[in-house]
Amino acid sequence: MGSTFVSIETAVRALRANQVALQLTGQNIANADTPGYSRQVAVMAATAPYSYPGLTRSMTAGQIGTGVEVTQILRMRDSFIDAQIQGESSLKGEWEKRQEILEYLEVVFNEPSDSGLSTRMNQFWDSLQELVTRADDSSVRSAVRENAVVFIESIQQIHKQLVDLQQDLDFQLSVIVGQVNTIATQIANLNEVIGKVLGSGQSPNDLLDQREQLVQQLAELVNISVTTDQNGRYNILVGGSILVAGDYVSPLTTKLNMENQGLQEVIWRNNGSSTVITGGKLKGLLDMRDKEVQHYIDSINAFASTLIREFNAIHMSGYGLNNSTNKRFFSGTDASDIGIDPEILASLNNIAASVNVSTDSQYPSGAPGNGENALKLAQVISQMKLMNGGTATLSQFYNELIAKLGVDAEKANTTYENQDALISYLKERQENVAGVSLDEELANMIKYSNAYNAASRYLTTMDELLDRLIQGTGVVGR
Amino acid sequence: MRITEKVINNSLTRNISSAMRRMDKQYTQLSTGKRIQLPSDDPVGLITSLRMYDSIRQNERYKTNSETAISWLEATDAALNELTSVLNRLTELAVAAANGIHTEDSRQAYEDEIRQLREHVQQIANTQHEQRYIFGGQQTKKPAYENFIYQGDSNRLTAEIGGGSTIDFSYYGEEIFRDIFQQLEDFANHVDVGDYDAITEVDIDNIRNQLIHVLNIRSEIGAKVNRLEKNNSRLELLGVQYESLLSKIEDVDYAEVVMQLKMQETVYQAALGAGARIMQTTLLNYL
Repeated sequence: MGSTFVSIETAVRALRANQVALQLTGQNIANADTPGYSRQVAVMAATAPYSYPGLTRSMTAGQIGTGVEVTQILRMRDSFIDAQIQGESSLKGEWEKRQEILEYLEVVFNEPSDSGLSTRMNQFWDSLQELVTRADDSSVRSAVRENAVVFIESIQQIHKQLVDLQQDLDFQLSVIVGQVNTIATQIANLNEVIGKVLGSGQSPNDLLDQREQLVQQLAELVNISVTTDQNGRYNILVGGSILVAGDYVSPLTTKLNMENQGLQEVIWRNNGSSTVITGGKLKGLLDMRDKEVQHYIDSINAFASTLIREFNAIHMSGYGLNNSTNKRFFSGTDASDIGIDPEILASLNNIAASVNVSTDSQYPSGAPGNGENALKLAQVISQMKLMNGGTATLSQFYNELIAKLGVDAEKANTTYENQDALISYLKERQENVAGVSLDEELANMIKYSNAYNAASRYLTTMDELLDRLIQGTGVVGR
Repeated sequence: MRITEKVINNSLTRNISSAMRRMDKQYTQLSTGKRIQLPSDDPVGLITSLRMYDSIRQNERYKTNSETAISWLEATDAALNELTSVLNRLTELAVAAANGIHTEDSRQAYEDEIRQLREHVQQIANTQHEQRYIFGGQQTKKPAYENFIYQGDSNRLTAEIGGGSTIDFSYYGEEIFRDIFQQLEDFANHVDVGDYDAITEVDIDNIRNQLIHVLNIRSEIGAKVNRLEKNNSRLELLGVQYESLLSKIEDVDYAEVVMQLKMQETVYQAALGAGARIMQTTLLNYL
C-alpha cells in the first residue's frame, strides 16, 4: 500500500495542470482576434510512475501513476506556410504599389472623357479647320486661340501632376525606408529576447508570433531572405547584404542621386554601398518612379516639344491678317513651359492662316481669305507622322500612350488581385492551424474545469480518508 | 480541416466586399451608360474607341466644311443667276439697239440703261456671303471691284472635305467677269454714237460669249455642289458606321448589366444572410 499523501500529490498535480490548461484557454480566447497570434495548447503527460513492493512478493502488480504534468506549451503553427507567405508578400507589396500608382495615372490622364487632352486636342484641330474656310473671321481666330489655351492647359496640367507624383513617390521612398529600419530594429530586439528564452529551454511563443508578424510586414516592403541561427534568432538579408543578424541591425538610408534628377536612391547607411532591391513596395515604388512615371513624363514632353517645333515651323512660314510673318504660335520648349506666344496673345491678326500668295518674290504676302496654312497647321496634329520615328501622328501617339497605360494598369490590377488572393489563401490555411476557435476553446474550458473539479473532489475524498484514519481510527472502546 | 471564427469572418468580409465592388462597377456602368470608365477597363476596346472618337470628330468637321462650301457655292450661283438675267436683258437691248433707227432720246435711254446695268453687274461682283466678298479671290475683306477695276487676286478658297482631299469652292472675279466692264463701256459708247455695225458685229457677240461663259460656270457649280452632296451623304453613312462601332465597344448592354446586377444583389444578400446566421452560432449560446 502506498502512502496516502501520494494521492494528495496526484490531486495537486491534476489541479495544477488543469489550471495551466485553463489559463491557456483564457489566453487563447483573449487573443482570438489578435493578428498573427498562434493558439497555444498545453501538452499534458502522465508523470513517472513508480513500483511499490507487495506483501508476498517483491514484484508489484504493476506500476502506479503519480499524476499529470504539463510538459510543453505548444505553439500551433505551420512554419512552412509562414515561409510561403514571406516569399509571396514581396510580390504582393510590389504590385500593390504599382496598382495604386497606375490607378492614379489613369485619373491624371482622365481618358476617355469629354475633358481629357484628347478631346481638347480635337477641339483645337476643329477650330483650325474652321479657320481654313474662314481665315478672315476674327471670331474664328479667337476660337483657335482659346482652344489652343485650353489644349495646352491640359498638357501642362498632366505634366505637373506627373512631376508632382514623381516627387511624392520620392518622398514615400524615404518613408518606407524608415519603416524598414523600424521593423528591422524591432526584429533585432525580439531576436535578442527570443535567443535568451530559447537558451533557457523555454519557448517564447508570443514573441515568436510577434516576430513572424513583423517579418511578414517587412517582406511586403522589401525582398528579404530569412535564415535561423542555432539560437533560434533570425538573420535577414536584403539583396545578399545583412539587414538583421541576431540583435544587430544594419539600417538602410537614402541619398540624393544627382545622376537621376536628384531623386533619392536607397543605400546601406554603414558603408554607403548601393542596395539590390528586387521586390516589395520599395521595388514597386522605384520602378514606378524611375521607369513608368518617367516614361509618361518623357512622352508628354516629346508630345509637347514636337508640337511646339513643328507647329511653329509651319506657323512661321505663314502670313497673318496684317501680313505679319515669321511669328511663333507656341512659346516654350516642352510640356513644362508650353504657352501661347505673346504676339499671338497681343493680336489675333498674327495667327498665320495664310500662305504666301504673292508672285512677286520681293514682296511676299498673305491674303485674308487664304486658309491654306491653317490647313497645314491642322495637319500637324492629324496627318503628319511626326512621332515614333515617323510612324505615328501626334494624335495616334497620344492614343497609344493611353492604350499602354490601360494595358499596364489592367496587368497591375489582375496581378495584384491574384497575389492578394494567394496571400489570403495562405493566411487562411495558417489560420486553420494557428487560429483560435472559440467553440474549441469553450469545449476545452468545460473539459479542463470539469477535470479541475473532479481533482478537487478527489482531494476532498483523500482528505476524508485521512480524516477517518486520523480521527476515527484507534478509538474503539473509548 | 479546422475552421475558426476568424476564417469565417475573413471570408465573409472578403465575399461581401467583392460583391460590393462588382455591384459598384455595375451601378457606375448603368448610371453612365459607358462600359469603359478607365483605360484599364478594356485596353483593347479603348484603342478602337479612341480611334473612333478621332474619326467621328474629323468626319463631323469634313461634313461642316462641305456644308460651308455648298452654301458658298449656292451664294455664288444665286449671284450668277442674277448676272444671267442682266446679260439676257443686255442681249435684248443690244438686239433692239442694233435694229432700226433710233432717236437721240431713245439712244440716250438705251445708253442709260446699259450704264445702269453695268453698275448692277459691279454690284453683283461685290456680292457678300457671311460678310465676305465672294468674288475677290482670297481678298475677302474688300470689295472685289471698285470703279470697275478688280481689287482681288486670282486665288480660290479651299476646304478639306475628307482626309487629305480638298476642294476649291470659290470663283474669283476675273475668271467670272473677265473684261465685261470694258465691253459694256464700249457697248454704251457704240449706242451713244450710233455705231450699229459695231453693236451687231462686236457687242452682241461679246454679250452672248459672256452668257455662255456664265452658264458654263453655273453648270460647273452644279457639278461641284452635286459632288459635295454626294460626299456629304458618304460622310453621313461613315459617321453612322463609326458611331455604331463605338457604341458596340463603349456602350453598356443594359439588359446584360441589369441581369448581372440582379444576380450580384442576390449573391450579396445571400452572403449577408448566411453570415448573419453563421456568426450568431457559437457554443456559448448553448452552454
